[in-house]
Amino acid sequence: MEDVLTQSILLVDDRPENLLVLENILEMPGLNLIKANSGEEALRLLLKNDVALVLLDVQMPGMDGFETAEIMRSAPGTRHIPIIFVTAISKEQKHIFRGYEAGAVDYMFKPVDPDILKSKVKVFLELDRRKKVVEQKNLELEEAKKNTDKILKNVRNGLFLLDREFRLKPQYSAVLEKILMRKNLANMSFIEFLENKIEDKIVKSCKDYLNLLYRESVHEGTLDKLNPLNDIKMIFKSDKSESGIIKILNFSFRRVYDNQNKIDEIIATVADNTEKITLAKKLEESEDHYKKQMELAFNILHVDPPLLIEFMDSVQTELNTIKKLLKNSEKTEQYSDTLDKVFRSIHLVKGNASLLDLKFFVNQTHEFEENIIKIQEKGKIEGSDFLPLVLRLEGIQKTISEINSLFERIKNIHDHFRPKREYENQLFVKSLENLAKNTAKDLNKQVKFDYKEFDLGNIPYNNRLLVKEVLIQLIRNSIFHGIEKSEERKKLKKSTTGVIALSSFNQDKQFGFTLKDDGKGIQLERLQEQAKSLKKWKDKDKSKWTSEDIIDLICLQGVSTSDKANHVAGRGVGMASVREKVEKIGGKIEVNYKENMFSEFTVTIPKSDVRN
Amino acid sequence: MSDKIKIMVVDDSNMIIKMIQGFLQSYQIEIVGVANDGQTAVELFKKTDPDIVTLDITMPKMDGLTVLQEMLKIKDTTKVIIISALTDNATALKALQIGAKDFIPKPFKEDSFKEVLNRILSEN
Repeated sequence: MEDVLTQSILLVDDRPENLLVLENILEMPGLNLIKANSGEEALRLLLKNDVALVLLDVQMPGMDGFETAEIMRSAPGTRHIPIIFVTAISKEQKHIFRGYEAGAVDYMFKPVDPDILKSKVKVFLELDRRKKVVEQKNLELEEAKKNTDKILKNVRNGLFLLDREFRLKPQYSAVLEKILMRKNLANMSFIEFLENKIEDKIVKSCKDYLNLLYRESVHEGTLDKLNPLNDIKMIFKSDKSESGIIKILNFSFRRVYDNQNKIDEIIATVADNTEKITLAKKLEESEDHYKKQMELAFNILHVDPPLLIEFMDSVQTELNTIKKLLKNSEKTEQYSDTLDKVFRSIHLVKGNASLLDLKFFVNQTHEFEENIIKIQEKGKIEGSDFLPLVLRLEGIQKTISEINSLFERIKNIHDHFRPKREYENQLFVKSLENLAKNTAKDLNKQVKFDYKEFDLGNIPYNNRLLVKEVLIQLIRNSIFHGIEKSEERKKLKKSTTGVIALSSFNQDKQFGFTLKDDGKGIQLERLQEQAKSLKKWKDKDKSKWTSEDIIDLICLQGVSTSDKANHVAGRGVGMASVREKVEKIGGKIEVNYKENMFSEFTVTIPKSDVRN
Repeated sequence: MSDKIKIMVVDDSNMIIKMIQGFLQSYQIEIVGVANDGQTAVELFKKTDPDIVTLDITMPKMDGLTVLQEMLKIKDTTKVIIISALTDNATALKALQIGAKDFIPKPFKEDSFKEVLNRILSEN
């Protein structure tokens, strides 16, 4: 509602007839005319009334107009009330108007020109009206400030004001103390506060920046770009400890102008962005993680889905076995045994992974193996040695669940492209061929994998994973222990490229396969030597060794014709584990060989529990 | 003021000079000088007496801050717009402290250049 403002004018003259004249001229609606016969009365009335303008006669008995004005100027309540002096003295004497520069002062000469008086009064009334509006605004502002004070207590951002010396004014938001980790901030030097928390160079920049902010000639927008305290990393050190709390604070500064359009103070806000930025970093990390997942995805996209599912199942089985082993090994005497078993399981997983060309998995499991070897080499095994293994296991488990979830997501794609039956055979042998190639490459050997005589159809579906596991082991053993390097083969008048041939059979009651390589055959001396040195083999004449004996030897823990354990084979661990599995379903592994000519492994599995 | 406003462009990169020249085409501003290094800039400044200077803060022979000081010593009403890499805010702040009028961080686009220039022109 726009209320009509009633304004009052105080008319001061010792002569009633003069007052009457003024009254007549100035009578208008919304204007209240108050009359006084003397300076004293005028001052008294001024205390009681809100007056917009005083028309003051200069020559009065007692207190004259100038004296009255002087007193008005000295009192806060009347200091700003404008005065029009009304005087009969000649224009030549106007110099006696002692410079009343402060405030609004005018003068008029008697006889008063009604029109001029009216227009002058109107100007002053208008000024008064504006002043009243401003006052109203100020009241509102005052109210607003009170409200802001309330808000200041609740806002999450720190809010404070900086004076020209960059000291904090007493009003600041409650949270500021928390953000700046200091109490009683009133009057604190902001620059001193910054010292030792950020680089000296930046403190200096900050001083420059705040100085410029107080310099009106510099555009505020220009300075915005130069704020040195934008997401600044601050170290809050306590007196005692060397390390401190690190926060990332974002300060921003704005000018506050007074009503004369001069920069009065700087209002600053500060937000604690530590969490936000940490979150952003986390996001980045998760993006990295996402990239890794993409790699994983590409990796597993190459793998035939049924194979992958089998692989995943087998890994999970092995992981569970390992977990159980680790959980149940409480006695120190068991440690060594547990370690062996864990190694066997992991080795199997590695073999499967390298078959499917899942490099990340091969690396992960290889590191795991290395870890076990280190513990074994140490001699005395302690319970705490298992801790890194548990951690690594978690890593592998994580990879598994990632592949699982990735696989779920891409399964639909695969379902559409599910390989046809004849293609499955291709996939199966191709993956083995891959393994052979990669293994040979790692060992600097040349190998050809011949699978013409192999038909996956001979192998019942539910035995394929097992067959594959056995084949992985055998192929690796062949390349590692059987096939010689090209130069060596040349000397033996063999073709420089070794051949590994795979064939399959399916008879009435059994099925199986044979893997034959044209390498150096089984090196009995070496096997025996190692077995002896490990005291794990009874002294037995090697000429009487049966195929079973040899398989036993190969499978013995720690026995390997290769001295140095590496990624590819060694330690016969894989063999022992696949043999266990084959025997579990009533199958057997046989070996046939001729030194420097060939070695041949045949796996036969009874069909009893076979359903195709 | 009947005379055209005179501007001088100082930058060690001719590409940036060309770019600024392009930006200035739509203005009634006369480019009275172009310099690639600080020393030449100061000499040219004395000769051409420009109203506005755009000044690259990192330059060969004489660094931007010195050039700025020299120019303001000759005529302190010169409106100098500092152009500098955003990574060098401390120098930009120093330049403003010395008396540069405004600051444009590199790399800049036509909009941000014109925004600053318009601001400076409107102050007349």
